[in-house]
Amino acid sequence: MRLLKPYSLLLLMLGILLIPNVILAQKKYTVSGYINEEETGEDLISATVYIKELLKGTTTNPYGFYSITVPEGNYNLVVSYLGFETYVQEIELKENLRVNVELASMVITTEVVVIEAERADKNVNNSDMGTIEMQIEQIQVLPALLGEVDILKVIQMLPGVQSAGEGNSGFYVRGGGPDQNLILLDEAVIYNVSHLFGFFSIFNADAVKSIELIKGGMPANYGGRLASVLNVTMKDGNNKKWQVEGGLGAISSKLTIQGPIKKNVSSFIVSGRRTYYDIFLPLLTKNNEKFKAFDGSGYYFYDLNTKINYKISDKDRIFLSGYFGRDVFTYKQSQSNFSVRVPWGNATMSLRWNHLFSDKLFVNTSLIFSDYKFSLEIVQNEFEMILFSGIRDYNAKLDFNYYPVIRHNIKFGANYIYHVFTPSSASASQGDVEFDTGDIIRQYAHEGALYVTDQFDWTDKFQINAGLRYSMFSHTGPFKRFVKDTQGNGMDTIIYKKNENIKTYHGLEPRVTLRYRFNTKSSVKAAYTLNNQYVHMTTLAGMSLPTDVWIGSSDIVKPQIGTQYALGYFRNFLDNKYETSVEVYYKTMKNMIEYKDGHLPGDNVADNPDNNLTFGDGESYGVELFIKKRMGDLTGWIGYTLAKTTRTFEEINDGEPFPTRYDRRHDLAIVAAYEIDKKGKREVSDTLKFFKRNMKKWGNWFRARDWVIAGNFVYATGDAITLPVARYMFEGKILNEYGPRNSFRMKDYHRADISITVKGRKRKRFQSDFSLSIYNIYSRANPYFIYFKNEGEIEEGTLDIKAIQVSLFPIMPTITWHFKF
Amino acid sequence: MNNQRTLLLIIFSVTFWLIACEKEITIDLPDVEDKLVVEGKIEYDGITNTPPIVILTKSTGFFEPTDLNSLQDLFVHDAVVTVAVDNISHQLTEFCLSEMLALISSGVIDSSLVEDLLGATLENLIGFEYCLYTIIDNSLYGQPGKSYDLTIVSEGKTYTSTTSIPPLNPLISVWYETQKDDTLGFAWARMYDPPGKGDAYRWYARRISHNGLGEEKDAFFVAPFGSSFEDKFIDGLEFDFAYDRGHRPGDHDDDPGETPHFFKKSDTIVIKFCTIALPVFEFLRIMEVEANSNGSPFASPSTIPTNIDNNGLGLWAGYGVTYDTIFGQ
Repeated sequence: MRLLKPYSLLLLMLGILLIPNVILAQKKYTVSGYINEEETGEDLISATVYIKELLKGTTTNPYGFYSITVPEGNYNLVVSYLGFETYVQEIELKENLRVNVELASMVITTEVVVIEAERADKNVNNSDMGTIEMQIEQIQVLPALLGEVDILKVIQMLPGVQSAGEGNSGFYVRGGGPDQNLILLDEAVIYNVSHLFGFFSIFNADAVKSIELIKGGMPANYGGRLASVLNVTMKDGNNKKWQVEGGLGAISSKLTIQGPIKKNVSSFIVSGRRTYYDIFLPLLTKNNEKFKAFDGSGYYFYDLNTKINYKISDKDRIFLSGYFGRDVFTYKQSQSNFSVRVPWGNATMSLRWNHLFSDKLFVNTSLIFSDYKFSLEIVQNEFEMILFSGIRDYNAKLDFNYYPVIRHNIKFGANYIYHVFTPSSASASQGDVEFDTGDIIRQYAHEGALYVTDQFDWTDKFQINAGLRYSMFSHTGPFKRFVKDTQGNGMDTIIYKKNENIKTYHGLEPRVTLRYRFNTKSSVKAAYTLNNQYVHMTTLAGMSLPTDVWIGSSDIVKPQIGTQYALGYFRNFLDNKYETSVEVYYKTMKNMIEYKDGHLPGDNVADNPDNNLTFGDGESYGVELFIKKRMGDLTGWIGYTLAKTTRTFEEINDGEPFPTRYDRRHDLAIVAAYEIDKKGKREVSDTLKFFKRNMKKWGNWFRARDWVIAGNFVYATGDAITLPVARYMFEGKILNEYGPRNSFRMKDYHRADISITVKGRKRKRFQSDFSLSIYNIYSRANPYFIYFKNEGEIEEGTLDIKAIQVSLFPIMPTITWHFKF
Repeated sequence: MNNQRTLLLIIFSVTFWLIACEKEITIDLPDVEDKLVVEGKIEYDGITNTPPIVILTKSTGFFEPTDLNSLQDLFVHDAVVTVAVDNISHQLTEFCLSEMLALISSGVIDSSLVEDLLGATLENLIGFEYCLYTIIDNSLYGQPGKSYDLTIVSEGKTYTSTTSIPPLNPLISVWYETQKDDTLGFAWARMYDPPGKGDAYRWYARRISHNGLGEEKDAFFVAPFGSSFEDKFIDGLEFDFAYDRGHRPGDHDDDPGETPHFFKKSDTIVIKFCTIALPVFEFLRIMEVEANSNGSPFASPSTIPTNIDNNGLGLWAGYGVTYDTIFGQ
């Protein structure tokens, strides 16, 4: 009976939302359709479609579909999208119309640098808060570490998003933990986004179409995480013509092939990337004493993205997409018969079916598989050990988009996930003797959710986006629970049978965003959201590592509950050329997890990992300023965040609140891209010609190409770390006594990067682009970590203790070559 | 498995060796109150009667001077230290090095026992007033299966702790196995862990064969990294295991002609294999990891547990000791 309540609430809410459709019984018709890119046929996500006369409209859904229902009449239908010519069509609406539009890219400016996306005042006009959409072209011209374009590193430069450290792809949103970001690639959850210990993300920019980040005001169609949603959409594949593109970079090479299987009906894309490190390392170590220590080690990673889509009819379309990536580290020391192999990576598969029930009702059904695995294999003589962990999800989703009248945009749906967690498990043997590392205790769980959400124009000035999500999570058998006393000593073992319910949690998650528009240039928005999170990541170190283990809620681990309040003022200037916003937020997080003091990785083996956890709460608040220049030769943004984030755990830091490692009081990013216009190019080429006659050739070469200069500057308060404050001797060893958790600050972080991209001649079939990227141009030695060096002999009284700061990347120029034909 | 973190560090450094750079920095750390540090043990080896030994020092500010005078000042004198067993309390007496040398020469205590405990050779400590608390009249010595309560009264504060000596568990056999270059290898042993989880062990080794100067290679027993283990994975099993040669703490340079981590085929090695209580194991394993990690980005700083109450630091440990010898070839 208890379960009935939320269901009935949802139904009631849905009923209320549908009422306007019934009472407003005027003669209304629907114009609907798909918006695609002319050149490739790719769906355009979040393109703006509106009725000029009513100044009302909508945006396309993730499959490029839109639907607008308005009273009978003659209208102008306007479609606009970043970097594309705005499309206007006169429509005579006296019956339901299907208008599919293919937008052509702008010719006047290149498609590269225009940071223009939507109806120009979308920022002010919609009720979205803390939502940022980016296109891959924007990201591709920005400077990149080792020339490897990484969408997550660009995301980190947005206000409210903190990077996980030098060169790291990990990110933290508004004080949330690394496990509180819902990272989706074509709807499949990615459980570990990093390659090479976080220095690169698993997203291959060549295969990505668009990125959307929601850091506050999460709509009810998303759930399961507290802090953010990062929604990455893969390209569908060009359905007009074959296209091959690729690139050679400093650490990896990549190749993408896409094309129509049947023109305008079906297309595919295959994109792969692999690193070279393991190929070049033996050449380095072979004859060089200095590198001898690295002899025998090897490392590589690769990614493969594939996608096929097929338009069955005007009403039905299917997509099948997959990702497969692996990192592999190997080390072999033949002298002592010692070898290590560490493979880890993600695999996902999404099968999606779009169906139009009517012009007003769009449904997407998805079947999704995602998997993350880590293993560590050590062999020495007869000793063999394998340590492994992972998570696997089977996910089914049903998402409806319903557009009853222009004032309403309703979404509702259901989601079911079957989780299989494999927390750290091991097997070990010495010769014939198998060590008792316990059974592999997997954790099985069912997670489900129902949601409904309506974006509703109450009046012209007042918009409400109200949603409700009901979620539940159930941990079921088979399972083996090791019961421990407060000292951590084993007391008992409980065996649960298959499908036996061990613990169920459920809850309602209300999400509300309000917008009040003063005029077309400014608005104020407020949001309240409550989120439940049933899966948790346990992390050992201060940084995200492949060894991080995902676990589900259990009888010991309660769901994390996050509440966020946000208030923002949005104002556009100079014909929407500049967007500005100020957002303040306050967040609380309950039931967060940390390992108990002194936990070591092996402790999880032959035990339940949650027995080693301790629980606490988090709090975060801050203000974010954002100024974005959207149009012109110079585009970019300035983002600044002033924030504070703390955690309070009874068993950590004597129960006193402590800052998180990534609690950054100040966080500033300036990002700019400048495209040299015709005039500029002429001036440069004239100057070159003026200097010397034989420079004429260079001048012409310069003029014939498109040039983009981009740069960024980031500044952040130093990481909060724990340092020893005292030392003592024990058995002749020096031991540390630590000060309060994260009570010490490393030096502030700042860095500037610059890049120059030269785009080959457009008209040629084979286009070749070069880009020079210089990371850390003034070679700032940013602190990565601090350690202490003990030199000398304590018995002789010559012991010297020094604090050493380690920095990673000095100035690093890289050239990458990219081709397309 | 404790080596996983170390391994990640290796992987990491291999990957970024080319570009990382280091520099010395100055750090202002807050002043903190000194704490009492206890390093106490009571052993039973079935051969000799071993008295409890307790060393009392103080913790000190992280960047405080480390010259000999400063270190000497860390010893806590005039504390009232008692050990109670079977409801009878025994008071320990403080001895400093000069007095200890006298006791050693008169045969009351064994020099290696003192060196073992101090983690340094007596030779190195001449002129350094090293002090400890013990009992020399044979009225109190370790016995297996018994529980020992330690009480320390110092500077107006009282600290207590309890430990026990578990029953002995001798190794089944010990041997040497070559690992590298025909002459270098590890010490191997075969053991049987009795059924029932909760047993823990500690391994020490000492080379008693002579070096070029005619002295024993190790003046005392050395515990290698990861010297202690519990029976979580080996409960009720009979199996072989090996240890490399441990590094003498505080001694940065190895002796000439020796290869770090390896024993030599010609070494005669005495193995000291101890049974310990679980809390002792908990302390030792975290202590060893902590002593080795020193700010690695993969290590979250861990507070080393202690079984000393009232905000004290350190360990009061009981050891059930058996000895075995691997003879050099």
